[in-house]
Amino acid sequence: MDTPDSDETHVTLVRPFLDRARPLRGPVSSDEFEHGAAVRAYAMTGGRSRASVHLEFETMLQATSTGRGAVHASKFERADILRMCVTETLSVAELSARMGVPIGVVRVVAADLLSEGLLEAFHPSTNVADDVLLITRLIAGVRSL
Amino acid sequence: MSVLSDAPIRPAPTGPIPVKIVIAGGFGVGKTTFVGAISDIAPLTTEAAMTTYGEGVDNVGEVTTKTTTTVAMDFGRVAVDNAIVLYLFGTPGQDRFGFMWNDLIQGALGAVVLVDSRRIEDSFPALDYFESRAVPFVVAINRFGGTMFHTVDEVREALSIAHNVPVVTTDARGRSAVKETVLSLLDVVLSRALSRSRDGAD
Repeated sequence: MDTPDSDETHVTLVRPFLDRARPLRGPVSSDEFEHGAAVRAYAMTGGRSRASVHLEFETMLQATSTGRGAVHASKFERADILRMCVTETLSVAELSARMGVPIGVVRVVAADLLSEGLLEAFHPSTNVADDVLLITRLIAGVRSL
Repeated sequence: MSVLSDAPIRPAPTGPIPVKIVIAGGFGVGKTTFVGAISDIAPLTTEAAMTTYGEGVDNVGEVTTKTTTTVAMDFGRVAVDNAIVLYLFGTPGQDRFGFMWNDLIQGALGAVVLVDSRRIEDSFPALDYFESRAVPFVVAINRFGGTMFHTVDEVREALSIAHNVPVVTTDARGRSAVKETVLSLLDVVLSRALSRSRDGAD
């Protein structure tokens, strides 16, 4: 976890508490972010607003056994997400709400954790509108709430 | 000991199945109250960047400008059975930003459009959005605890709601009324799915 990056030239572009491995993209243009807070939030992701894996608002995440072991070695948003996903299975939206950061930030950081095998994702059904069995179960479940 | 040895790389069949519906409507119509009436958790607020198009407001004149703005939305969750987790997302209240909600609507089962019968015009943008994208939806008139200022038929006519879209009354504060409203949406979703599977079988 967080081994020093051999490519030291990039480190000067990134604030020390950020993900050292990735340079910022450069100045954030004003049409991308209207608010200063958003700039700070996306700085956490190394300036990336695109995640490597697409996660919906409702995609649910759980720490893998590797992820559980990696909580203490992780920092900042990575640690926050891993820690919360150890005890509960939480959606991207819930993580965003609890951490007080925009959904886009959770998407980017969680996608990294997924690709590193530290999180497991439970995606919504891709053909939910045609999934008669799922819809029927949903109706029965809501009726008995 | 590895459980991965010969296992194909497939998602496990067990685990939660998230499902999403969207609660739309004008500012102050009771979206968050509606979500809270059925949610297992107190509604949470999240922020997302949404792409919007300026539509002649704020002196942009004829120019359609594309911007990204940060909007807040409230949502709740309900454990429906031992696997299905239903998420209810209220649409952002800032209707003047237009309705580029594609990110939120992506994968949603359908929508409830909440209507305050004193201000039915507030629901026009949501209705236009869901109609144009063929998203299943129901129109729910929030009674606000008893008072109905117009009949269901009057609202249906005023909003030009298609005959196959249910218009129901609800009370966003009441768990059973909200449950019934969600069920009326799920009925629409189910009949669409069934008719599609029949068409596919021909």
